[in-house]
Amino acid sequence: MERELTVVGNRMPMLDAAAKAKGTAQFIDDLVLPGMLHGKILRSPLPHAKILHIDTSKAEKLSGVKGVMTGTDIPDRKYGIVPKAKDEYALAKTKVRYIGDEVAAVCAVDPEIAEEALELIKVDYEELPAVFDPMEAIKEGAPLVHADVQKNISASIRKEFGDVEKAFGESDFIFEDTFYSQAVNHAPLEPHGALAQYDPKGELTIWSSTQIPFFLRRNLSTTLLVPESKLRVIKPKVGGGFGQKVDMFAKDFCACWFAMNIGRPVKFIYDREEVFIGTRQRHPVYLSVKTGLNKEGNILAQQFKAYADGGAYNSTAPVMITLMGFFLMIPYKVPNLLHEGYHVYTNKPVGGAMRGHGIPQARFAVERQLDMIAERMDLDPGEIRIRNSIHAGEPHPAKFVINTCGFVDTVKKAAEGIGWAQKRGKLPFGRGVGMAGGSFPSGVSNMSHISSGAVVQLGREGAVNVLTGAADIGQGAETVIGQIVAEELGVLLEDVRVTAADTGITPLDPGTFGSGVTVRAGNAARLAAISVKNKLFEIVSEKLEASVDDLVAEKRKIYVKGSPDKGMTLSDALKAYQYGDHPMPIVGRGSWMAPTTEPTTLLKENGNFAPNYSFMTQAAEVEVDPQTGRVKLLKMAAAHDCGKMINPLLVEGQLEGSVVGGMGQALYEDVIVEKGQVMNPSFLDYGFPTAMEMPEIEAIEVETIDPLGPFGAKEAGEGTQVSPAPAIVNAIYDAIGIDFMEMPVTPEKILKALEEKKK
Amino acid sequence: MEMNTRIISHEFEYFAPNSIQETLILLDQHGSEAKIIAGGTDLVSQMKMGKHTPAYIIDIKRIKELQYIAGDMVLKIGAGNNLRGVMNFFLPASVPYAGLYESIRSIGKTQVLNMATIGGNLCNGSPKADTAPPLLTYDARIKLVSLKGERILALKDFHSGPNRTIMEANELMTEIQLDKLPKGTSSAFEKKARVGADISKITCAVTVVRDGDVCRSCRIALGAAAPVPMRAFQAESMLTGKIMNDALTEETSQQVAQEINPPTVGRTHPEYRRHLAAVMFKDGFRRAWQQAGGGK
Repeated sequence: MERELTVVGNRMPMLDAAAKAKGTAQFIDDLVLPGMLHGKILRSPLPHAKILHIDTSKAEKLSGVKGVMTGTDIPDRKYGIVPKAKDEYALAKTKVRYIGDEVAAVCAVDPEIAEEALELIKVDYEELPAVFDPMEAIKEGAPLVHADVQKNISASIRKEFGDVEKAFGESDFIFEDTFYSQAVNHAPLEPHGALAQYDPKGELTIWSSTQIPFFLRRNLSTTLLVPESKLRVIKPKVGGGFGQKVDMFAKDFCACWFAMNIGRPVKFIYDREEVFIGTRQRHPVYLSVKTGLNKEGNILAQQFKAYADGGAYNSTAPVMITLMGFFLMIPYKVPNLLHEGYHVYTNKPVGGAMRGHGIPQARFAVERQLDMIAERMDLDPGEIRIRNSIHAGEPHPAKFVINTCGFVDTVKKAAEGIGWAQKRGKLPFGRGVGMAGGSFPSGVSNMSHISSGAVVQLGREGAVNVLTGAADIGQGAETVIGQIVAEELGVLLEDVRVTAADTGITPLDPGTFGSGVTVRAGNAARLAAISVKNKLFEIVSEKLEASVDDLVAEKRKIYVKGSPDKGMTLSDALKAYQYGDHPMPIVGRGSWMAPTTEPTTLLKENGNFAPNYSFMTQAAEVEVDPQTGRVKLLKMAAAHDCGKMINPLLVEGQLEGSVVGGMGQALYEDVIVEKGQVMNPSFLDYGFPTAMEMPEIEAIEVETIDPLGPFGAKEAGEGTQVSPAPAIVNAIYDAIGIDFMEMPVTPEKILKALEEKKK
Repeated sequence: MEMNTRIISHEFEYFAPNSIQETLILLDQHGSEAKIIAGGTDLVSQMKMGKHTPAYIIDIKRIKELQYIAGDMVLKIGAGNNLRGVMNFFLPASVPYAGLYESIRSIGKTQVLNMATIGGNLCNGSPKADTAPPLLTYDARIKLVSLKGERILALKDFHSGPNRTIMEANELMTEIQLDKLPKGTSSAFEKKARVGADISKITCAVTVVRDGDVCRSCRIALGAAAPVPMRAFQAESMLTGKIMNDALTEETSQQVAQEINPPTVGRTHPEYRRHLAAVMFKDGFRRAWQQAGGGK
């Protein structure tokens, strides 16, 4: 590939940008089917209780109500996104485990009647003692959230790389610190919804605001007892997910159940409060980090312990605590690591995947402690990061294969962007700069057999149709895949139509999680496009009397490399193909999974985790008002090595989003729970940063060309979220000399700390 | 638990009268079961949360008689003016009323300012109402009208508790009255919230009448600092007729902090609110004092 890229690498608006701007894009709530009913869910008002009896008779009699269901109506099948950790019923059967747990569902001719019917359902509960803190929940004698899970520890991991004890013995300095990362909510602008339709042939179609159409199909199949062949999951436009839509929810199951039993389409749309209380949130985690270093500031050993407050159910529990530990092994060289992680049940809202998935919490602890260590050892925070960076091609202590690594460059460029040399330690009291690093996998290779497929068709008129299972949830997956195919076929992006995320039409794809879409689905689409191109090039090479290997497709033309005038238009090439009696359309297929080694579980044996790894540093400048304790984030310089950028506009969007997410986590957001009750489940009460808090953002490119990514690409999604929050808290230290060990750093905490410092 | 269902699930009858007189007749008939809606920026979400379930909604948005700002010695502001209109009337060039301008601007959101009315902001009764503190420092009066007649009372006597006012069910607020402020007057408004365009954590308005280095009078009012929007009368009295200096400002700020009566529930600690009250008084006073001195 020596020619210039013409589509990949360009700043291009998303394929659906105009439709979204005009309001014509169709989200779940825009979909209306003839005879459609509206569903609502009754949720538990108690944090922990036995269900003694449910009386639905009054609700059933209400005019306009078409169906009422409870946990006793549904099959005894639990669901869960991780097969070995399934622990949740679509509707509670005998027990509720948090305020918001689903107890019953109603469908009616309009949402108001459904709402009214909920009030007519009478549930007799026997309240049980509840537990709200993971450190309490693991004690002997604590109430058990699930009777069969001792000490409420539903998942745990103890993984050692190297020999930690020995390495601590050899360390010149050992530091141990504890941290806490709070619960925050994803809060996608589009609340969760589902619409299901059942046809008399026994086929069930569900439109769902999901990031994982194929996993959802599997979970619906096993819980509804309907074969996957009879189930079709369609993802319409999705208004953001951030990991919260990586799961099945009661709305999916109940919409299907009612549709099957009543024969009319049924739609559920969650309220904002339900999104806060009844879906997923970032796990609150208690973390402790012990780090041993030599005199030069090289890390020799790290011991990491994490207690995650999982809430009432597992969701992604085993994956989350595993990711948290494995990704302590990048971007810094940690020759010896011991990670202990515990996922603990409590009677609270459920933790789940959220942008970064356990890694941001771990990175908050590590990046904060690195700054504290730098201070104690009199090293520059940038220098200690550069000194400990892993490098491409070096043997890795966990046997990760790092083909490209721009971490050192990201540290240098983020520092330059924020004015580190002039500012760190030199600004007046109340102003400061701080940085944090990070690294992230572009999907997974060895943890499970996960693959994507794609089909590309090229028709007589030069139009390209791409079928991909990838789930675009607003991040622009369809645009990126369209660009990859257009680049490979030498057409314009406007020639490409992408049909995606419909389990009845498109090839298998695991979905949007693990930041793997661009590399995995992008590679599949590229392979399918290459297959189409090869077929066409065979004919063109005869016409042009040139070798297939010498042909280039670009901007709707095919020509001989080095001689742009020796060629033909794509239109003429397709005419030649057809008149040469070759069947149209030209169809290419591709499927891709990351190279793996056996065995494919890293829990048993070391090995590579991901096809490639992104690297990043974000550097923040803050202003702290010592009178009121308020922090203003003035600027964030974000340097991200995401390999080759397929679309810099979208990468910048991801970086901007990560800065807002990081600000929220570091300064403002907190899901406040009192005795199991979420106290602030609305945009008004929760307090997100708004447009008025936006800092200046400088997005800095650090391009590496990765051998496994499509056109050299790596992830630029979740990874962007791991560094901003610790960078901000590190900058607060530089501004006022106080180390905060927990988030959010609120004005009240700052004032209190300043007063204590005076004493 | 207040759940915002996004749905107003109960039935109600809707009236859109065209005049004050029609409104008063409706209020006379249905007052105790009715709610007046103007912009609806507070009421609609409260209804979705089930806080109010009125049988009748009386929409006064279209009543032109309530939308005027006029007068010389007494400035009369129709209660039905939207906040944007009031804000534009008091552009910052209007030094005496800068605090009112700033309070409305702090609400921030154009859509809300276009819908919400100044009467609604007061009648909602919230201790956090952003326009209340500056109006209190202007010694504003309000006019309440019913079929039985009208009464004019001081705004400071209007709020009777959190989200409560002394307004009777058959009454309509029609007007806010402001006396012309003496020469040398300026005012300022300070607000703290978690993020921009947010509900206030605490607010403070200061109006000063300045004569050289002498403070002829100073009026201080705070929002979200007590069960109702409040004046800090004792702090005010410390400044009357005094030659200003930093020590006196500091001392007064401590009195402001003492004088407030912050709620003990909620996520903001009362001591933090007291601390903020002092800081905000100082900031507000400094700005108002400078503006009143003609930029000195």
